[in-house]
Amino acid sequence: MEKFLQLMLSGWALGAIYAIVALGFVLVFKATSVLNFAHGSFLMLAAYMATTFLVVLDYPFIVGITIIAVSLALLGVVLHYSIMQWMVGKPFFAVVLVTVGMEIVIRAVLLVLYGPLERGKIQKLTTGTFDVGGAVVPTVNVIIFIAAIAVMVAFLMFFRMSRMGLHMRAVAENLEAATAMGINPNTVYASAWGIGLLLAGIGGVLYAHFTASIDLNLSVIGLRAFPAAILGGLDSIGGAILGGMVVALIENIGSGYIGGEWRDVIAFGIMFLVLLWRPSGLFGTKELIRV
Amino acid sequence: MSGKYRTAYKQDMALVKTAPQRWVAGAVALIAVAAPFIFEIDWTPPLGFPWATWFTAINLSLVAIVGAAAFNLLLGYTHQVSVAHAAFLMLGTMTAAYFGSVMGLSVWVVIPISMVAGAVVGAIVGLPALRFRGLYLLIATFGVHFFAFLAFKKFNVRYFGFVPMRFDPPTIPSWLHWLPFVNPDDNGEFLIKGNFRFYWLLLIAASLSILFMVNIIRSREGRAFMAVAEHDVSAALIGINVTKTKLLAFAVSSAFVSLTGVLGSYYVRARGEDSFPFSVVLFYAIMIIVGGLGSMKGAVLGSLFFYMAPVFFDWARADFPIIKEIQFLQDFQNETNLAIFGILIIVVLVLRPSGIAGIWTSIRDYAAKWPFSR
Repeated sequence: MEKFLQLMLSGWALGAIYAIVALGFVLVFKATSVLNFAHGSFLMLAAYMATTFLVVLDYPFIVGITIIAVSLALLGVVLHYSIMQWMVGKPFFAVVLVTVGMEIVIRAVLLVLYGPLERGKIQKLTTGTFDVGGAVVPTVNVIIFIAAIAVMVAFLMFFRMSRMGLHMRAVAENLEAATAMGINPNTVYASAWGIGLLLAGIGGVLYAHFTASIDLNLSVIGLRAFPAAILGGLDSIGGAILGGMVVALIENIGSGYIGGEWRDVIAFGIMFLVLLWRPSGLFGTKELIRV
Repeated sequence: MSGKYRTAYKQDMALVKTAPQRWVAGAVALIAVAAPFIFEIDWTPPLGFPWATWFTAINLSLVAIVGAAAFNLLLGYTHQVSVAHAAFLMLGTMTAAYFGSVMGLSVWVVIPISMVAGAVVGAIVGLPALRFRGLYLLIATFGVHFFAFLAFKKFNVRYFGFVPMRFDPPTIPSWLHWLPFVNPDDNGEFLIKGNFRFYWLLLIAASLSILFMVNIIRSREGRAFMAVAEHDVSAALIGINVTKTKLLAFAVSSAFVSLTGVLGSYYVRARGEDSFPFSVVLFYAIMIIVGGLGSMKGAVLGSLFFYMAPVFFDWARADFPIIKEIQFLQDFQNETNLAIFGILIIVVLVLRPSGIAGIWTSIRDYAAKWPFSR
């Protein structure tokens, strides 16, 4: 029982991170229909930047995370205007491979700047732990959880209430109608990339405080966002958050009992079962078939 | 668009349709046969062009051509977005390791076994394709990859311990020793070992599988694949059995990918846990999309591009006059290879999403329409 509690409590922090990753991923997909294979490597980039800003330069946490998030958001906007803008309406898989190309370039840049050696996790905030019914929980996990929830709430508020959020929802719902109403889809795509990478940046910094080590395998978490996003339904923002939580909890508890190498199999197994039952995820819109 | 029109059904079905195509096919065949002899010549090309490395790269791309063509059949022609590609490479490697290395069977027995295994497992993996399409299928086949990866790791540990799987070089059976260039060693065996001997095996395998794919595409099954790709509901309306077609596409493609796994493992001779990460799937996707989706020419050009480009970068860095002076490139050799490769992919796809085969087509059209080309 103690083990179960332990696994569940560490699952919550991981779930919040998965949710934030899946959220950024789904946002880009929903707005621009680009399946972003590079999402995990943007997160990895943020984690490496965190080692520079928070450990080497020793900036305060809030300053560091702001710098990283803002620079990644700028990177997203720049990437849209320089590359992705030209890929709108191109064959789906060609667009996917452009993101794969980006992932390769990011990996190469990180290898040049940081070298292949792994770094330990960041212990900037606090190294304390506390006790819940026999399970030891690092305090930093609670901070990660709260921070991730706060970011997601802020994002949802933005999405519901701001003008840009309204534009994004309009473009996702009906591109032609939105364009006819005077919304510039290019600006909306650019801001979706910006916000998607901003979320990846925050997720990366938080994950740098959670993971065992920061190395070039970190981008795998981008692949783990797939089951989370699918579970909730690929075009559902709320579904992505819930999916991230559920996948992380089941995966953490399952792999804790049968062994770490089953982690991916469990995550993708759940997703497969959900897909068999509801092919468009828990909250996704059903695809219309037109002949 | 070249002003030549086909007037008979037989003409439309011919493999080689026009005189220029016949010339190109002849030239390609000639180069393919002459290449290994040229590589064997002891000659130092200007600027130290690396012949020896090229031979390895060409053999690796011949292995990859089989797999890329099979992937193209599934993705390019049938539009079934599957990322279980590396899973079948692992399946082929596992059958080769079990039947070839553990049980000691000959490679000529291992190849059919692995292809049958690939086809059967492929048909099973194809089952979700009946229910999901597009993106959801992609993500469902993700699970297959991770499951196969776990099985591969467990297999490796069970039969080979904590060292990579080993593969002995294949031999040619004695009743085939009359073939040209087959000179048995002293113990009466002819080992297929080294680039020169492997080249012929791989060339035959690659040409036969490309021929098989091309024949499938121009038969009823191939047209059914393309009809399902366009729209499966309308394909069903014109009398195509969609279930059978999708499963057939998965089975054929997987059989050949499994063959790629066998050929690759016999060529490289060692396969370990880290031989098939998820990026292998992406590499094959890069080959067929940079080469040109939905064209067998694209699969060939893409595989050659994928393996030759790094060799070319290496040569340019080591021996090309001005580039050689840049210290940064010398310090970060692998990293710059990676970066240039990534940038090249992005540039090719942004400028021409139809890939290298598309570039070739537009050059041809330009020349054909000259002086009225746009």
